[in-house]
Amino acid sequence: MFGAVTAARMTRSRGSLLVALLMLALAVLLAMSSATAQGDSKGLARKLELIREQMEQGQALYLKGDYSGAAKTFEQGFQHSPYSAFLFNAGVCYQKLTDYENALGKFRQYLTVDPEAPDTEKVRERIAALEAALAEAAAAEAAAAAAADAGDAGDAALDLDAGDAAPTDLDAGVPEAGVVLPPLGTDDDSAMKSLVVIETEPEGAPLTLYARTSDAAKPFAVGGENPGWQAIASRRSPTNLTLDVGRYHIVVEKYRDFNVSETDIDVAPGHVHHFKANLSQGAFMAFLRVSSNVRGAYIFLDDEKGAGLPWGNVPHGELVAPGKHKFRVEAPGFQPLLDEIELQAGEQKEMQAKLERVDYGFLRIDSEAPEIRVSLDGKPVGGWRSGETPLDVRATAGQHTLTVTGEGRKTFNGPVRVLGGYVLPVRVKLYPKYPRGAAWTQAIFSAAFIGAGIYLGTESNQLHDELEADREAGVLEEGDGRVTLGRWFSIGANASFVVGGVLAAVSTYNFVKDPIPESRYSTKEPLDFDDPRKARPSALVSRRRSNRAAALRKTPAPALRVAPSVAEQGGGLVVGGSF
Amino acid sequence: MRHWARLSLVAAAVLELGCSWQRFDEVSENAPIVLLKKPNKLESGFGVSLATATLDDQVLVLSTGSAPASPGAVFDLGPGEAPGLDARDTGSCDSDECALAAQPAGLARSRTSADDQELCFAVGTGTSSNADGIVVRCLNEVEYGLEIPDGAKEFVLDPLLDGTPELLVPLVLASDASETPALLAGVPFDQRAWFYAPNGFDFVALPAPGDDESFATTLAVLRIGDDARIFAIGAPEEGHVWLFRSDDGESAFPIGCLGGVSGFGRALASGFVDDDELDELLVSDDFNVTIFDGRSLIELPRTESEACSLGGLHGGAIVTSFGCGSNGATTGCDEARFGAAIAVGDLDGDGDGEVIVGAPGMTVRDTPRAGALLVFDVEGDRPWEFDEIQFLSSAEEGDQLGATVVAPEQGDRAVIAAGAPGNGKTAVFFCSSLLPEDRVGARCR
Repeated sequence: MFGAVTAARMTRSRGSLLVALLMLALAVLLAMSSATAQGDSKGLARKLELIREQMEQGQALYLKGDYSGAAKTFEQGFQHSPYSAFLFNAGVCYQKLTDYENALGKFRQYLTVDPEAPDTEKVRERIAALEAALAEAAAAEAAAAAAADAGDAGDAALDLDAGDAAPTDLDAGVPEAGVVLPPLGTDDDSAMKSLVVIETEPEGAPLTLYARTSDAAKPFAVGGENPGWQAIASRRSPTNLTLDVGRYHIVVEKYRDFNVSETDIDVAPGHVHHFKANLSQGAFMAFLRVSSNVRGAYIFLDDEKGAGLPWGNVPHGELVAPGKHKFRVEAPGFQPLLDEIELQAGEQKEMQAKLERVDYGFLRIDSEAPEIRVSLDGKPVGGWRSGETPLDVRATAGQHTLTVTGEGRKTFNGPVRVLGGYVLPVRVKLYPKYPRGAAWTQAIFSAAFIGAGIYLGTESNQLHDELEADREAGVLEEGDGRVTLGRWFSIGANASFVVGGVLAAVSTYNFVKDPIPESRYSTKEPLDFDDPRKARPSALVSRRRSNRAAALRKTPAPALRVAPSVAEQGGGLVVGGSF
Repeated sequence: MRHWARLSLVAAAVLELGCSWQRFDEVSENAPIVLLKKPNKLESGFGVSLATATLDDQVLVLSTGSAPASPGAVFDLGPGEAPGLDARDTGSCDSDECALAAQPAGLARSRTSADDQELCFAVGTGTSSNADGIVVRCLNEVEYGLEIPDGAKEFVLDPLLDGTPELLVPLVLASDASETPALLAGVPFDQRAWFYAPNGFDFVALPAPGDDESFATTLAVLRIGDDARIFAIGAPEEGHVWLFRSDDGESAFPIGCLGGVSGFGRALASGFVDDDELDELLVSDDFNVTIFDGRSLIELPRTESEACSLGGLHGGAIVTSFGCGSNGATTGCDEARFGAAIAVGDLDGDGDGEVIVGAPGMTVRDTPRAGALLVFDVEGDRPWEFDEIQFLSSAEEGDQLGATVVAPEQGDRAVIAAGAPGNGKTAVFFCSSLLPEDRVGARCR
């Protein structure tokens, strides 16, 4: 502000234009500064979210009893984000594993990384206990070795007398097998420390952290005696602290023109807490974290339609202004969730959004056939050609009848189950139709022979009738040419019937015969819906495919195909085209 | 396996339902009509002229080709319905020394200069071991000759002997149906006729009356006694039929001339139309066939008149007269040439004869000129109506069945033998609708 006034004085003597330019430049600088600050804030939020994930993952493993896994997780967390809470928690895990060597290492590193931690005394006590335990173990080991050397085969007992204990040697290493270390307190589920990050706007404000030492203590009052409360750390913002589970109170002292700000905080085990005080408003911001059963779901804050940029992806936590907020959580394949929340200043709130999958799904269909047409429940839904992206067909969840046809291939017709909220990859294998050329040829010849048989038989019957009539009239002569003709007609008719019948039987057999298996389909693991904010928006693809299917129905693309044809009788090439 | 069984059943059913060729054998076995097989020797036609001779169980039919060059073939129809279809003898006039007659004649018994012969045919003119003249060949292949008048030799024998057969005039012969028939011979261009008495060896010349140039074109012999005969000699171009009577076989005298209408005498035949043991005379003209009662003809007196009419006949001399008729299978009476040939035979075995009239120009089942035979029982109230029409079931265009016809006696009934010279056929008709049920044979059932 001071800078802005100085700039104003200078501009009076040089003209209003220069003043305007300077004001503009200042505005740009302020805007850039604001954007940078916003970017820093987002970056910190993302960083804290990563820390939070690792912290919670380690905490979860710890609660499950997987101390080794928890220790490794905390160690990795420290490597990525060197906050002392990770070290302490890893030390606790090693201690649970009676790996006192590593436990000692972590606690000592903890003191090195955060020498002003409020709990340095407690950690030193823990270190001392560990060192003592290790010393006792080393002494017991030495006694056992001596007894063995003396050939004392009697009852060798492990002498745990402190006077015989070997000197503490932090480099003694892990006690050997068979050595029993003395118990070291009991770390329960709340033993994990949490990381508490405290910021102020503007930065640099002095702050004091008080810990409630008595559950009966009254609420903290600035300027009061506050029995049951103990100041455990004084820092300038921004700062971070590694704290035990418990209630604390942060007091941001009077700074510049800003008044005091304060807030209670409840530290949970193995968490990351983020506090920020907006000194101009004289209040701490609230912290909202949204998690969900769908990792990566989009969170929109105060954007009910989700039209703007998302606030974050699940799980996501960030400082927000206290007050009422509406948030929307959505993910492809799930019903969007809308909810409202009211946050108090300094409140740390975590919302769990349980998303339900939508009641429809997609079949993502392709085939090894060069071109297919697809119908669902008897209605055409599109086509697909080799080389294209698979055809997405939207359908309500449940059983449907899928029909896939391909030129020269056996039609597939069968049930398929659409999974709500999933994309089911379906690969349809359309087997070629068994060639019926021979069967048709045989059928045609059969019909021709049977037709000839009928004709010859009819002619034969007619001749016979005529001859009988002539005989009855007494005018029939032996050797009448019709006798021979009729006889040959009869023989021809019978031969035609026999040949036609045999051909009909063979034809029928060849029509029925089909060594080629029926067409079928196979599915892969169901996929989540494509994320429209990413590479392959399902809806868009679907729409595009619908349009293309319509175009396919209207004007089939010209094509000339040459395909090998294999039959039992031989092989060859089939040339086909559509124009 | 069950499918194959079903298929076999279906195939069997189709075969059964379809067409058994054996039924054609059944329907054509013992057919009512048989065709005699034309011998290869008969190169110039078959069924051009016919003659018959019956003795006991031997029923012979001579079928020839075109006169005078063709030979003839003799077939034995036998007593039953199993005729010999192959020629029994093909040596009739089968040499350059024989000229086939335009109309041969059958002789159940005949007599040579040396002995008696049976089942012979006077087949033509030529040279024989005993005489040059009419050649008679018998079933036993004996040939002998009958002397002929010297005047006739110029036309019927000399050209043959002189090596100028193109100048030959075919002889016309006729005999009656008795066991010892008289033989009548005529030479149309010579206006000459003569006869041989039953068992006679020498010819008896008949006087040529008037100027009828076509005299002796057609002939018929009527039995009126053991040796007594009436000889009918036609001059169809003039429409006359001259009648001669011989009571002893050694001489004959004229008893009149019948005539009046165009073509009268175009064909002549004789036979027992009624049951009075006297032959009736059957004469066809251009349209009709007239039957003259034999008894009435006997009553005709000797006459020298050359007037030809029917006026001299007394009432009842004409038994009946009838013309062409047709049925659903036959049409075309106008072109039928009804009466081209006539025969009398007892087709139904009732003791009297039925008249068989050839109509070679008739259309049969839309086949032009296939020809047909009209059978008249000549009994009852309407004797002029035909009783049946016979034709060939395999009639072909131009067969001309009925151009010639005979009625061989076979036991106590007669059958019909007819020539269809247009396509070289000779057919034997075994059945007639007139046959009573108890006489119907296997061919007629």
